[in-house]
Amino acid sequence: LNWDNIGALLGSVDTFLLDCDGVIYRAGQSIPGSFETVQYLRDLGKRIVYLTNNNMKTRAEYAQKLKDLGDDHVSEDDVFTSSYTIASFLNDSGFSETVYLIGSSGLAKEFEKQGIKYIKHDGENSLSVDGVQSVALDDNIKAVVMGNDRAIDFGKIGFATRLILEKNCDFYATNLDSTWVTPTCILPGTGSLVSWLSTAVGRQPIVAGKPSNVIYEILVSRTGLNPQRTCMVGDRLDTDILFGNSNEMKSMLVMTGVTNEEELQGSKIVPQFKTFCLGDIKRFATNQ
Amino acid sequence: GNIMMFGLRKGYLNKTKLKKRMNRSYHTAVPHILSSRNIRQFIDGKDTFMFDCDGVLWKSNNLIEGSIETLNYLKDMGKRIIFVTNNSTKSLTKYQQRFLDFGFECDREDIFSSSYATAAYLQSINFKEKVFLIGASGIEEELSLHGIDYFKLDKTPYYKYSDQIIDDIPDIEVGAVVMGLDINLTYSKIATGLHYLRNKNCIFVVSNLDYALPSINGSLIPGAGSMASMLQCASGMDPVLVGKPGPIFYDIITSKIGNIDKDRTCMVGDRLDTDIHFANLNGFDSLLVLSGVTSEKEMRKTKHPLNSPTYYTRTLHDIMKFS
Repeated sequence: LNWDNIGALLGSVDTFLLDCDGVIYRAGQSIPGSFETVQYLRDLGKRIVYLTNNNMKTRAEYAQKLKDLGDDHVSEDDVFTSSYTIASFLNDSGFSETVYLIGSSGLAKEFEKQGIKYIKHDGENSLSVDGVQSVALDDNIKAVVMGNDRAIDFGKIGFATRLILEKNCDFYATNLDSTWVTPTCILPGTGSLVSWLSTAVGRQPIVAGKPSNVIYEILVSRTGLNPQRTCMVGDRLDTDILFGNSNEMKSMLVMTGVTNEEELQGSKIVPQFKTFCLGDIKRFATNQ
Repeated sequence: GNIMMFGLRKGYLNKTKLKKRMNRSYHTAVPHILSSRNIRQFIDGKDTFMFDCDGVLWKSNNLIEGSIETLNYLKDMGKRIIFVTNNSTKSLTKYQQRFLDFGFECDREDIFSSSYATAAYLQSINFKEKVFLIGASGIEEELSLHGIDYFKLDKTPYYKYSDQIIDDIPDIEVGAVVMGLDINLTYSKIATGLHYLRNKNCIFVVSNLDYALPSINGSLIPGAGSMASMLQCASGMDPVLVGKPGPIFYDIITSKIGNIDKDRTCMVGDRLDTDIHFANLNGFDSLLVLSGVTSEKEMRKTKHPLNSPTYYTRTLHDIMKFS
């Protein structure tokens, strides 16, 4: 991206889908220039949508987080988390039974908000190894939904394994990011936790978040976006950029997140545009 | 010896040996059913029998009917009886006691568990560093017996913030992350393992990769393989597999009991991708028993030639009954 092509880009895009961690903020602080670009694009009449694979906060909580970080005008409707996405998808498909949830309290709250019945094990009601094998499976549970759960244990995965194998429950995951990268450390991501269950049952889940087309369908139905006039901006090749490229959108990689030059050179997933940070959009456009 | 290639150290098992082993011809015929017509030829043609345990001799805590009688029958005929199990949770001593309680006498030297094999493997590559272990007491005992220094995380608290997990990771130089079945697996243990694996010199070893195990009520519960997949996924590293069907287990066995005549050896198991694959990979016959996790239908459907058994029968007791 540079001042030469920014004009054409802005002229051909109505909607900007922005990944959050590594694009808007990093380690709890906004990345310089990011919110300036957001406001600039809004002033140009562009639609700004925050698109994150985060599944630990409700949509409202995430919007509040963005507000606290520096976007005064963000509303809930501008925010799509993978937890919101999976709950919306289930509702859209007419799901009316009970879900077995493995994930954070934020994921549970999102399901509650969207009126989906769920069962979740934690703390006192967590199952022992013997308990997992002897407990009777509730016939009302028709789907297993898994998100990030730092309190993951054998009881939860074992129970979900039995539901999928014995009751033929549908299997969903919020997202499959294998790692969660912060400036100071690399931690297991939701995708790594999900593999405990997916390898045990020999089946891959239907994935809600990027790069799945589930989130794409939800976005189109909720925002009416035209993919050919949409640009996805993200820091991760196998989620953000793959999502953009697979859905006929423009894609832009920023280097303020998890991807470095070496990975980019070696990757089969190629972003259409590349720039250092989101702030560059306003910089190049206003020729600063 | 490129450590990262197979996670193996130089001098133990090189790529050429592995390739040779894999090109050895395995049978491509359809599995033969055992019957009274071929049982004599089958038994007379074998000196050594290797037995998987779960699904062959017992299911959970329940003996499969006739299994112990058949073991004794073969033993009395002078056959060599060896046990080869991917179970990493029990020590050899406990296994020996279990056999005794069920009515079969054997030496500890005839029992090979993946826990024993894991420790023996590390010893064979002259591993002198520290192990971070995610696994059960079976591996712990074997590591101690083999003089391998290890540590575990026992009680991991629930961390509200992820950074706290990293702060609590012991600042130790770890040479290997070893994983077996751990029913008390937590996020912190995986995060800790991931942290140590980021050091290029740290190897990743797993006792076995069985994705699921039969449960008490007959269905499946997550196995060591599904647990190890978490660390595989997060680190992007493929682990060194010690247990069946890996070639390491066979080398561990023969280095203990000496060379065996492969033409006169038979592996008896209930799992295609571990027991049967193990036999085919190492060049000897296999007998699939249908008393465990595999059905006849699954046996016929298998597309992988290395997963197809030489013989099959309903249950181990058939060997005795047919003859």
